[in-house]
Amino acid sequence: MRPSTIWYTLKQGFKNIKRNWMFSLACIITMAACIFLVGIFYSIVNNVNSIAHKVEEEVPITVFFDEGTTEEEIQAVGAAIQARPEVARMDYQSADQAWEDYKQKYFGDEDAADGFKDDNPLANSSNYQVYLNDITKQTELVNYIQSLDHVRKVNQSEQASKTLGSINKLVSYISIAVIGILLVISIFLISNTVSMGISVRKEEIGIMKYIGATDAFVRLPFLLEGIILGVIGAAIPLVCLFFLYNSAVEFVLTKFNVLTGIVDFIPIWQIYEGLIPMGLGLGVGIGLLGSFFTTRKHLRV
Amino acid sequence: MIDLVDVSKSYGPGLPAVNHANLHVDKGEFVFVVGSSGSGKSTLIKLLMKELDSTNGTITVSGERLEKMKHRRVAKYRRKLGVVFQDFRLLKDRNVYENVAFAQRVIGRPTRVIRKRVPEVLQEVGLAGKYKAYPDELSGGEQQRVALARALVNRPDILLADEPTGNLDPKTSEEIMALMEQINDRGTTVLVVTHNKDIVNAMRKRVVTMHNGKIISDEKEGGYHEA
Repeated sequence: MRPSTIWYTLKQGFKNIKRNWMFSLACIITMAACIFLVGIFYSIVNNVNSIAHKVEEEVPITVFFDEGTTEEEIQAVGAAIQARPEVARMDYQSADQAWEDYKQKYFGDEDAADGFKDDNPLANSSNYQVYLNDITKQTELVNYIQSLDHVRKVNQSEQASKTLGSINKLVSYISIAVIGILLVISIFLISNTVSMGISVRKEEIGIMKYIGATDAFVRLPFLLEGIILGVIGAAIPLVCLFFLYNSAVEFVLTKFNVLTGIVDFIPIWQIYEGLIPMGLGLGVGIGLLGSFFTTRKHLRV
Repeated sequence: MIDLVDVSKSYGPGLPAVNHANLHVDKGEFVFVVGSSGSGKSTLIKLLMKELDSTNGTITVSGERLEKMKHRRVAKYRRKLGVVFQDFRLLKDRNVYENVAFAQRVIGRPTRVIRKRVPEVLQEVGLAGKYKAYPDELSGGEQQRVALARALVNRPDILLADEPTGNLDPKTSEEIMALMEQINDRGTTVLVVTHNKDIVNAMRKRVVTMHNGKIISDEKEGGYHEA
């Protein structure tokens, strides 16, 4: 393509937007509204997921060992557990440590426990506290650990695992459904708006074709127009969401003091790592596809 | 230059719009295609422009077989043609210069060539002083001159005109036809579809008459006959 043709295409793309400013504005508003809604939902879903994930990580399973198991054997079992992909982290508590913690918890600084002195009543209580990164895999992991040698008992909270697993699934399904619905609605609205704008220019496209313009030559300014509208339509809600998100987090934390320290909202930059490519991709993609398919209809002359 | 062999075009069941038409036009000829409304003359132009595909027969224009032509080849083929319509079909948001230059941009001519060629062709059609005007600011005759300039700017082999005087008064019609004759004198093949009796009878060119999709007469230096 000649530089003059590229320059012409660029100029036409911008001219089209200016010439049909009402249509351009309608397109940008529609796109911005849809991406704004997707953005809000994306932020909510991410935060709910992150909170659920944090709770998951706080529910450990505890692994106890057979009487007489040596430190080396315990470490070997630990290494086998650690190698599992669903294990986020694990803490080892020796029998002495377990007794110390117990004493601290139930007797405090009193001397009541002194009677046991060198005779540790929790002698067989060396244990691993295993934290998972995906609580739905708890049963699977417990079965695996129980199959290992020297393991006497594995304590787990089946109820917590099931409840959290269900919440995770529910949030995922709802988020997929809502984002899917929003996408379908936005594509429908935008293709309608774009086709309205292009049908106004049907005659112009026809003239171009009669005098020997290739499909690409006719289409390029429209595609460029779609991309520009897409970028603007995505940039507006992304900027708005940036300020809105921080204000919303601040509002929730001041209004509901009780949540401070319990609920950690994801920082905005972390949300935007996913939201910026998603928003721009949606805007540009919808603008591009909308222009592509609607021009195609009018190019067969 | 133009060869139609047993060409038919049907839009559906019923009488075809063009019915077993045979026509041969040599390079540099000036041909009128005449006939009443619905005789098939506009369909004939659309077939030559490859806007429509024939349902039967073969069409060859400048050595290219149209019925076998792929969609992506059509644009390049149309650049060999200059086309003028009854309703001018100018881009209303662009001035005279831009309308004519557009035909050059489409074929990728560099800007310096466009700057030289467009004023030349506007001079030829008598619009040198109006290059900044927009279509709405021009009379019908002037708009048709712009359309002619646009059709000629790429020096086409063939000029196709579909009722070029349909929206013009008799005097302006004569001027436009005189311009077309000049273009023909320079070697361009001209095919004009019209039902303007006065012009056809005055110019004494080859006249092809259509009726119900059939070519019923083909006369050298002919006149307009009602079927």
